[in-house]
Amino acid sequence: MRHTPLRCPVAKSLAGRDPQTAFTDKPLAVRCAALAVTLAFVSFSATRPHYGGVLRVEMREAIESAEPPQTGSLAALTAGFTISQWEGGRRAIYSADPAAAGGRPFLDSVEVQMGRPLHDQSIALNLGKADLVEFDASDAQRAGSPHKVWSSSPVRVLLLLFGPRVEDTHVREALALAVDRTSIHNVMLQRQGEISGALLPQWISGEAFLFPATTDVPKARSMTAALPPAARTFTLGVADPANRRIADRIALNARDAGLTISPPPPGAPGDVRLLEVRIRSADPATALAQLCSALGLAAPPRMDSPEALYAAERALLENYRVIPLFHLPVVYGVNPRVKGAPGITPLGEWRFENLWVEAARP
Amino acid sequence: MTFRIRLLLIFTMAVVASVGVVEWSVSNKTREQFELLEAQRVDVLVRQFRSEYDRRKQEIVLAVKRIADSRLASDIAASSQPEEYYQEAERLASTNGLDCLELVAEDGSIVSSAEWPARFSYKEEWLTPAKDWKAMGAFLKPEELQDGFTLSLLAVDTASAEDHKLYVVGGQQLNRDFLSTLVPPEGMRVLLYRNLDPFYSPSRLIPVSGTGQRSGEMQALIERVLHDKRPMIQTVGQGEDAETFHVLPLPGYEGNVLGVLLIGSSRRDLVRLEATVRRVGILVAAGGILLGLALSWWATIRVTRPVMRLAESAAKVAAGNWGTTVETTSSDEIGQLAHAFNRMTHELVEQRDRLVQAERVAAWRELARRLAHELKNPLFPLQITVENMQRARDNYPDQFDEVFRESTQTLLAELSNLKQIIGRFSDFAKMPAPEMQTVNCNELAEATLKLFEPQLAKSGVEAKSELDPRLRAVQADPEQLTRVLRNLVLNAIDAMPNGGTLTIRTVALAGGVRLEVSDTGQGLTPEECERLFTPYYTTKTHGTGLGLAIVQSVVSDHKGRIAVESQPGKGSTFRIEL
Amino acid sequence: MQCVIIAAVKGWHAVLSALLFFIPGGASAADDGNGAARELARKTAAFIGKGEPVSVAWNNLGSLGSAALLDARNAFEAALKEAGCRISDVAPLTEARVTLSENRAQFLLVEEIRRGDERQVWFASWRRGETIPASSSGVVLEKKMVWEQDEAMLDVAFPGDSMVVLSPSKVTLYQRGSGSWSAAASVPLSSPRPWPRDLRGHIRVNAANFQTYLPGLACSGGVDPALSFECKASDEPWVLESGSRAMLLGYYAAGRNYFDGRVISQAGAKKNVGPFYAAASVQEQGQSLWLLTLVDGRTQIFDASFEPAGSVASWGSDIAGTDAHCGNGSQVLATRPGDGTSTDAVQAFSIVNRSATPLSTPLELPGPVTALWPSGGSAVLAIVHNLATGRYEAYAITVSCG
Repeated sequence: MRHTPLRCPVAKSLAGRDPQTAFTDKPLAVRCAALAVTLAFVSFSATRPHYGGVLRVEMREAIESAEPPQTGSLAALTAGFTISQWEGGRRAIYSADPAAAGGRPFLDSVEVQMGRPLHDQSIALNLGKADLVEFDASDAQRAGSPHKVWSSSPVRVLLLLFGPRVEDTHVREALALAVDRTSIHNVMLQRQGEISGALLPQWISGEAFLFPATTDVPKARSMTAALPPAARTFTLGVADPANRRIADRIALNARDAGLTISPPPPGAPGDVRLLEVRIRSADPATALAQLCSALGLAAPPRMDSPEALYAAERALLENYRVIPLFHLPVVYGVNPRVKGAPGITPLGEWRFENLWVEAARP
Repeated sequence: MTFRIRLLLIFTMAVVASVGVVEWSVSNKTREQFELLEAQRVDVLVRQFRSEYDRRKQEIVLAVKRIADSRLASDIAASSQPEEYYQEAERLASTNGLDCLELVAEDGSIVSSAEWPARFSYKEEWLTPAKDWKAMGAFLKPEELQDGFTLSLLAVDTASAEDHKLYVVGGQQLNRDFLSTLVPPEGMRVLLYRNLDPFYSPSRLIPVSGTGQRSGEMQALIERVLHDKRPMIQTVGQGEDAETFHVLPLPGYEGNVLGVLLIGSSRRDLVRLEATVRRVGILVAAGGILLGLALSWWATIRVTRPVMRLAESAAKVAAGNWGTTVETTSSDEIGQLAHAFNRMTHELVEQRDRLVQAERVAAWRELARRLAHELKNPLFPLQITVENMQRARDNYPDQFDEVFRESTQTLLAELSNLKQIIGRFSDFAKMPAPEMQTVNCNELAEATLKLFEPQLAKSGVEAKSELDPRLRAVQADPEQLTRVLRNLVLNAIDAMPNGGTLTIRTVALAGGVRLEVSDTGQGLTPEECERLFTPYYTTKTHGTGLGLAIVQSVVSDHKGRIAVESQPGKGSTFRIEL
Repeated sequence: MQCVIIAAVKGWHAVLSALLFFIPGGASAADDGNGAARELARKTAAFIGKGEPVSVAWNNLGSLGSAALLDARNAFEAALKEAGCRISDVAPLTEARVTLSENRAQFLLVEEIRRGDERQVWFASWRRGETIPASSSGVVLEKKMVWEQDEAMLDVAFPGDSMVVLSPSKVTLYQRGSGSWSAAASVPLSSPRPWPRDLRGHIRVNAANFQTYLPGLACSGGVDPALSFECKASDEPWVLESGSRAMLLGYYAAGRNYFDGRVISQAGAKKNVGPFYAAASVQEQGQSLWLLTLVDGRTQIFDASFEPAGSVASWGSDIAGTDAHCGNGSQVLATRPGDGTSTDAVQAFSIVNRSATPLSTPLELPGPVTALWPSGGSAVLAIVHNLATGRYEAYAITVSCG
């Protein structure tokens, strides 16, 4: 079979090369086998890499800029493609670059539709009108689906970020103790990703296990019992409507701990926000600095060792202004006609140079 | 009050009473019919609600059963990883037309919740295996949602797989949408109170609009039903704003009242209808009264005219025109009365004629007697004188001249007396018609008293006059009236031979005068009073007995009345009204 | 190895503990996990004091196997014992938990130790290296691995007693010595044009000489007495052999991974059969047929005149003809259809009545086949990208008729 090599990260690490392929959050040795097993169920109707064709991609984010972005998934496409058409917020077409490193991509072009809701993306994939779409947890776990699923390593940090109004550390800590992460992870996230009390995922820092995410509702209740009702009442804003259900569950958990959480008034961000921040670098120091920047926190001073990294992360988390909840992968549903190695990196960046689409059968 | 007016009043009152009775009965009947109609409408609405309620219950039971019997439910029951199905409830609820659906594991933990998806793995403590949920059908239950409590109609079924069980709890909310299926007629409305709080809460009443003015009354109504747990009917408000509420308790599965259905029927239409009926009734009554009056007037005229004719005729008869007859235009009682009247007057006339004849005969006899008596008195001396003259001529020729002279004097005196008597009779017989002039009776009275002053003084009679200054002038013949007064004064003097008091009194009457001549003499018996005005009747030892007859005649010619009031020993009073 | 105690105690103890136990960094990373474990053990001993017991729990969150963890544990316990401490699970005052973790750059051994309210966290790290040998598949049924390497291989040939390995970046000559191949010479390849994606190349051997075909580059060389190798830019057709007798010339599409369709038959006839990936010849009832795997996914059967004579479905895009004649006709080996992300298999077929008939069970390979070339006679040469190891393996697959 002619294909782009699918390399197991362990082997690549032995060779001293960076992995180029994407995996789930499971331990690496298991991942390769798991991936192999998973892909054994994929349809075997493709042949050799086929030059030509258009990869149709849909995404939720609508990038409204006048020019194509320099960071993010779209920017990653420039590794093998050049922008040929840009309609900010709506559509972008990237054409194969004949001079790309490693050779011209198999695909002629990549067409990206922006601003597409998850539900519409799923429908488009089912109808065969899209080749690569974003999946949520339930889509990814749907049994019997003919589509492939590409999943990155956990690169999305779902966390709670308190604003200045909630000053009492006990209240913040109580909320941290009240959230039933296990249920949310098992049910709402369908065990996708991992529960985490750390800002950086385990695969990036190697230290996430040092920040356990414990649930202790009785302790949380005891911490809030002596507080007046006004101090136990605040609003929870949700940046991404897709996380609304999780926010509702958090509010319910908070109620069990004696906290009253309600949605904020329209237009207001909320006393505490459920946010999702994307990690864009596999380097832990860079990733933590980027996280701090995204959260509006002061950048840690020095993170050139595991100890410094641990200290920096610990300092960010000790006052419970930030409560990490989960680390989640980016998951894509892929049309069976798309062939080649998973077109995403562990960081979830797009790598479409080695993808091709199956030619139409005569 | 005349018969006509009385009759008119009676007719009018009858009409008014009839109209009033009619209006009252129409109004009552209208209210009865309205309330009957309203009761029917309410009954229809209640039945419609119950029917819809039962239909919804059945629908819910079927939908829940459908879900419980599905393969998916069995899979979930048997699944060791039920979290995979956490979103199924929403999809199932949507496809089965349910507002709420929960899939609950046999330990009571929620597998999936459509109405509150975040509530998975929480326990439903109320869902006990001990209860036979299937047999209960659909029931009311408070449901906690993310933003508060609501009232839902729920049914529970179970799905089984191997040794595992899954509860399927589904239903529909009792909310505005539920109520919207009930379309009350115009003027009615349906409200639902959801008893979800320890105390009454206005926000639990749906629809909330339009109840602000009645919130206190609603609260009392609802609290009573919640307490008594049985239906009731009560009207709240006044006038057009009044509203009758039929209140039905809706019990939950534990027997407590979880909902209260209020069907309100505005009494505005009834009030307006009543007002309209009343207005129309009044108009009709007024018209009826007017018509009644007109008809009554016409009827009374028709009825009373003969009666009035009868009355007029009777009055005429009373006035002396005994020959009055009444025109008989009908053969009913009035006609018969008229006939009888005519007969009566005819007989009266005949009797009067006979009486007149008799009286005339009697009067002639009396006159003849009186005349004979009067004439006999001067005639006897005449005869004696002539006989004396004959005797003297025969016997005493020498004395004949003296006798002749004395006899001729006596003859002349008696002849003068005779002429006087015949003159009086002649005067009485030919009383002239009065010559009407404007007469002031006070002046006449004063003049008469003045005329009789010497005689009164001589008789020892004190004269008094009580003259009404308001007396107006009347049309009368002053001479004849003076004569009347003179006769009465003379009679009064004659009645007080030993002195007394003579009083002449004038009184102004509406449209006339009253002259009274009173004395304090011996008085008259009732029999004497009756015959007092009969010609030639006298209680005096002298006189012709024509004075009062002349008085009566003059009064009669003046269309007046004369009466006497007397008691023996107490004097008499002659009263003349002109 | 950098190892700094991170204090995690409450109140003023934190400051005191930090001051007492702060060790400035600067130590080099450990070479391996054992060294890291020993360093942590020394710290542990210093913390708890000589002779004191400590309970230690071990946890592996990394990709290193249980063997690595066991090694680290043994090293830790030995060092602890050396320092005079002992490990005990019976009511110790001090509890430690050691976790084997990793990130992309290094492995981490993290110890959390707690004594009462006092808690410390120590790190020991070492760079990720080749500590774990790649596993290889050893199972050869009718296959024999002849070479493996990290870099992709395009073809392997055996001119004379040597082995020539064609890689995208070089041609390497291996000589056998002491039972194994060792690199004797290597010549880098430089192409006038950038290599296309899914680079293909072929070595055609003629005794001690060989020719290599690459997109836009034609090379020739010899191995005797030493490796000589010369390349020139060329678009001349590749020689596609099937077995040892059949031959076809096919023009390779510039910048692509397929032949553009222009062929020249053995009889000199020129034809355009449409773009194809591979070609193989079979004998059926005495007649020669050519099978070409077209880019549209079909495998077209052509007669000797290259007129279409049928098609075969359900084959991959790599086929190779052999001289094996098991039964009537010759056999062709074909790969399984796939997209290169899963293991592959090669199966022998014969063409009967213009339709493919499998003759063998699929020979499973540890990864997708990246190249399949006839290597003369009954054998073909398959280059496989081992999914487990990431290395490229060359197999000689022989059809034995059994």
